[in-house]
Amino acid sequence: MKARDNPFRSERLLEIRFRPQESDWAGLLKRLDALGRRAAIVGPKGTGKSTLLEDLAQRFVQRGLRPRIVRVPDPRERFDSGSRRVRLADLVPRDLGPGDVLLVDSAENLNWLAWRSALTRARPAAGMVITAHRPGRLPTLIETRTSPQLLREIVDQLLAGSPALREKVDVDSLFAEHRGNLHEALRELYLRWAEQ
Amino acid sequence: MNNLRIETLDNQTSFAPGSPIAGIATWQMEAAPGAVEVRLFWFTDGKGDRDVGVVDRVRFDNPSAADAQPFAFTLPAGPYSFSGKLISLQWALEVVVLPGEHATRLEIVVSPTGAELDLTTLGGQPDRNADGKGPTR
Repeated sequence: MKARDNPFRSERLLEIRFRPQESDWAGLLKRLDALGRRAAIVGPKGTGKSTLLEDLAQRFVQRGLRPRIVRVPDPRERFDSGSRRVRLADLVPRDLGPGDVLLVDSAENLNWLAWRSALTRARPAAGMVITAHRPGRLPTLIETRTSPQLLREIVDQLLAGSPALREKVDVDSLFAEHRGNLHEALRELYLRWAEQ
Repeated sequence: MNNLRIETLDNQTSFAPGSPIAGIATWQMEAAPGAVEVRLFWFTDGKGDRDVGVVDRVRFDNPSAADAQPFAFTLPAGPYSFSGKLISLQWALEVVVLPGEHATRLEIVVSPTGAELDLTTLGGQPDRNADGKGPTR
């Protein structure tokens, strides 16, 4: 199957937005405000942290704020296209103001010095939200979790209109095999479809 | 109701690399937008992260709420449109209303053959000798 016809291709996956499991958007935003808009989205890999961060960015735009997203690369991939090592301290903008909200994806990849620098630079901003695998750096806004039911809903969405194909997917086994990492589960489905 | 449309001359959707590409972008918005932009770009889709390359753009500042404007670009020599099992590269024209999210796109093919290059048949084949008789092992 051609990549552009694969129901699990990246463009289709980008259509899947964060679905709050134990709360709703209003509750989430209320809690964020109560935390002074400085909070962390915490959870294991593949549970929707980055997706939630992107969706939060849209909500901030609707509130008239300017989200500034920083994606902190994994230490093993910390090189730019010119093969120069990325300086962590340079990732966070220096010009944050009261109309900005700093959003840091994979904040655990910031070393102590870069983290302190980020906190200082975010001080004038209207907010700061990070994603991390473990709690601790900022008060926890939400702990992201997945479930077989969530994976089932996503697969149903991606294979809508193809019940015969849907029957081929054993969601429970897939979920267990990837230990709840939905990114990995969906990637496996992509590869299965690619071979057809 | 907002309406956006982008068309090429003669509704052509397949182009040779390096050739001209022209058309008309039409919009009908409830209020006059700040600007309207027509973009020529390629993008990848498939297993991994998406990659996008905006090759050219034309911007209409402070346009009327409803208007139609011609555009013209020259396609670069590459990349060609192609599809494999793990990645596809597609070309498109897009009309975007700024600021905001309103956009519509028209997918086109950029290839010397007039068709997307199909790489799906290349993967997974056994290695062959120059005479095509089979695996070398």
